Amino acid sequence: MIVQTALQAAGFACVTVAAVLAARALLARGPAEPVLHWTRAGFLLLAGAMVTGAWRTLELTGPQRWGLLTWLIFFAVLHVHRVPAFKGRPALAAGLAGWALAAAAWFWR
Amino acid sequence: MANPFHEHMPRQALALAGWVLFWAALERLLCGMGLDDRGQVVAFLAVLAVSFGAGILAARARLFLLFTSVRFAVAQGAFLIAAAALALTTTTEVWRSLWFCALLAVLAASMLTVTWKRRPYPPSRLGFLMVHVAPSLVLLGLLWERLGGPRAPSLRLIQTGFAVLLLGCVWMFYLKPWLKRREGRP
Repeated sequence: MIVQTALQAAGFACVTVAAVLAARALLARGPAEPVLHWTRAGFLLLAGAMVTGAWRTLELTGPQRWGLLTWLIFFAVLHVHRVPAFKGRPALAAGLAGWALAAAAWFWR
Repeated sequence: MANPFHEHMPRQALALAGWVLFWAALERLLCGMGLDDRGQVVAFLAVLAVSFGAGILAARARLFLLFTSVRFAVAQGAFLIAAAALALTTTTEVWRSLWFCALLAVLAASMLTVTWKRRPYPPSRLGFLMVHVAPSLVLLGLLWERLGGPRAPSLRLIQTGFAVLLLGCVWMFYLKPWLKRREGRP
């Protein structure tokens, strides 16, 4: 449980950094590459949380459901970065929207 | 000319909504008939086999283009997010429902089709293979659990799916580029 919580917290911290960098890149037209690195790191840490705890039982509790939702959001965001038509600003905006959704979901978990 | 279906995300989203509604209605019908979990999963597998079989026979090339489209992967991701969000706001175990398994079945079929398309797999592309096989393991675990199999092994299968996905991502995102950089050094 401790490992899972630590991985979830670290994962969310990484995607938060990615969101800050995405906002900066959107405002100042900066590079998207660092955003992708932080998003990948967050996605991996959240996947680690899924492996270590979320599926000990199929009856998922609040934080585990939130972890699954956040992980799925960044699964989609990583794929958005791969669609040529969405590369650049649309992908950055998708990452930012994904982070906002994950943050909002935290309160309903 | 309008985008073909495999490039058109709104139409893909509509089709996925139809797919989900169809399975939700079927699950309701099966419950109404008094079928237990095992009976429902058997019916699920039979209907799934018939639908995929009919799709392959009627429009094999188009189905191949759709399942290997990155845009379709994004549309599926959006649908899975909506399902997980629904699970967050309700007390029902969405991942045990047939419509969620049907959504996961389409994802697994897409991933396996992409795996087939990108063959062969030298060691440098092992990560890609792992990432694209993992959802099938998760789906197998979920169905096995619903079939009434022993709980621990089916949960282990789901965890293995996530672990394979994690290792595959680490390979793709970090190890492979690191090895490439090392090879490039004089």
